[in-house]
Amino acid sequence: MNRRTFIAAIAASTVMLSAGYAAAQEKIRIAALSFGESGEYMKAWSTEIQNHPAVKDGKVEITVFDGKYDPLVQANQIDTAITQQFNAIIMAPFDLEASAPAIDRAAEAKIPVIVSALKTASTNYTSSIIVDDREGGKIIAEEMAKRLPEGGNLVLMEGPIGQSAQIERRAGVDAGLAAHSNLKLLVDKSGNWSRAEGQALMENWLSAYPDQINGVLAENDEMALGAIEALKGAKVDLSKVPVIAIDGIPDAKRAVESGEMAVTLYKYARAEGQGAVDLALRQVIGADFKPQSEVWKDLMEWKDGTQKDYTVPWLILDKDNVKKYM
Amino acid sequence: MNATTDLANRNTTERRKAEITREFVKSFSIVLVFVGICVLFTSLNQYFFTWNNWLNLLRQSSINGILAIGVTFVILAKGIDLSVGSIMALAGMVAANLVTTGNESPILFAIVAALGTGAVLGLANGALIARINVPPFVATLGMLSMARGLTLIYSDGRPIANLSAPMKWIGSGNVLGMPVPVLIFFAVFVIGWITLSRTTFGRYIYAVGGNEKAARTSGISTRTITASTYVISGLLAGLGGLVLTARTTAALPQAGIGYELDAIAAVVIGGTSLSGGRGSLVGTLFGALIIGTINNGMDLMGVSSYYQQLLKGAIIVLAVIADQIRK
Repeated sequence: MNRRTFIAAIAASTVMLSAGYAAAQEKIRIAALSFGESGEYMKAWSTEIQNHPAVKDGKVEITVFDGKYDPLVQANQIDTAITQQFNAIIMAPFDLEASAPAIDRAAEAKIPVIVSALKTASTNYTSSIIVDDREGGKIIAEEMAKRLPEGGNLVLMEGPIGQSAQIERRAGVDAGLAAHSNLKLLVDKSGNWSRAEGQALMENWLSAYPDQINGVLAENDEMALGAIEALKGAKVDLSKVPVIAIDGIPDAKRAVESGEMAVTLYKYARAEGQGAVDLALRQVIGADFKPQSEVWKDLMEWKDGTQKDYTVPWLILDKDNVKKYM
Repeated sequence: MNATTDLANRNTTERRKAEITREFVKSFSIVLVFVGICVLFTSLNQYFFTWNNWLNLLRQSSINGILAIGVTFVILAKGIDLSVGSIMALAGMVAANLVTTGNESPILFAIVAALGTGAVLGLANGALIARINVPPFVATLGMLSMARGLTLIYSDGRPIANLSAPMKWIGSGNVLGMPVPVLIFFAVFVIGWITLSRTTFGRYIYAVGGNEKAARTSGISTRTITASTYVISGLLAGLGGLVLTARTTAALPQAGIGYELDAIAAVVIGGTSLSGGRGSLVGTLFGALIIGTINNGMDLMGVSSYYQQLLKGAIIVLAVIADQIRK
């Protein structure tokens, strides 16, 4: 390419870019604030958002912001989204407390905020669409009780202490276990949602409580998968020591299919992600808007799209039904 | 002996003069880079060059900027401080504990506690490095872990929320239309700049970083100077922790993880040499602004964060290559 054609090409592409830009201005613009795009669940969440029918149609433009597991970064991104005058903000708040002032600022700027995936301490959000983490904790405790009818000793791996999912899931686990006095919690500790930390924790517990652990509960799949590696390393029979966790990430579904993990609760990224897009569009477009994601068909009730809080149900995956959701 | 001292003094003075010239050229080129990035983003996004976005950008750069100013002192004296991210978490936690519900002391207590915590941990770094000759990388790496451990112990792994109104004001207030964190950042910059370029203490820092032996021979108490740079860095990390806590309205045990790297990046992009003795706070100011601008601008354009990280890394490496070429 000689210099002249090069310049011509640049000029042409600039014109095309600005034309595309002008067209983009007609679209509804939604900011999706993921709390960490390097995590599997959040990546699935933002991918589902971008696969929403209205986005595919080109009527809606999504900008994904990566919160990088840092509440300050998320606060900054809300400010950026306000300045950019997005029509709506969908946010998965990394921290319960720290997300509140940022959401208040968006509300003050009259931008609808749909809270998705995790809770916030703010009450100024427009709607929330979240699985019930407390219910999830309770379900895994009950699933454990079903698998250990004679009772036994359990260990529990927790998320980062203080995060809303950790607080809620833990409260649910405690409530679930309270109904089964023959299940005894030997020890609990945070594995920070991490597979590597979960593995190390389990290795240490196997040394500290030799032959005493009858079941493993984890507040997320990653830690449980780490625990499974440690149990396999110690030659523990995984059919006798059930490992039960929450989230339903692909690796966990594979582990359930192969029988290494007893149960995982599937947190349906499509429901939290695409559902949030519909709730946002309801605010932007108004009462005429009809939800477009399939998640409103039989999973959840739309209720005009103006409720404050929507609860996404958990799907309990075990060896029998996991294939359907692979 | 006298001859040696004279020679060392003259060397220091000459080095200093050359330093000022170099510093000017460098500062100027970093400003050009910054302006270039701004022009690029302005042409690509209609929201970039707006007053509100500038306020965002400055606010978003202020915490990293405060940390980076402290780290500049350390790096100029040929050290490194990896512990600032952890120190800010502990300082923020200690401060928050004084201004939360049920324990609402005056805001001044929280400020003093945050700065004090930072300074004490910085002094510990300084003592290890200047007194016991632990290499700076190792001493501050140790402190990175110890301060994080102390934070978790002190907080029992739980966040402290419900901060008092004056504490929140530090993070979200405005004075004459300027966000408080930005004003703090600028105040720290001005004080730091005067200290480095207009005081004997500042000149000694350059001397120690440029040639420690010559500095010692010419009668500078190099150990005290070295240790004091870590105290400054710790103190500013404490201040950064205070602002961070106020801004997020909660002190989180996992706050500030990795912030030391962004601070060091700002210093390096700003043209301060990791081998000590060369660099300036003006460079660091723009280094911090460049990092903030890149994050802000690419967020505005909706560039995937995966590419953002790639680009940020590339810019750091390019900055160091430019530094090598200039040498």
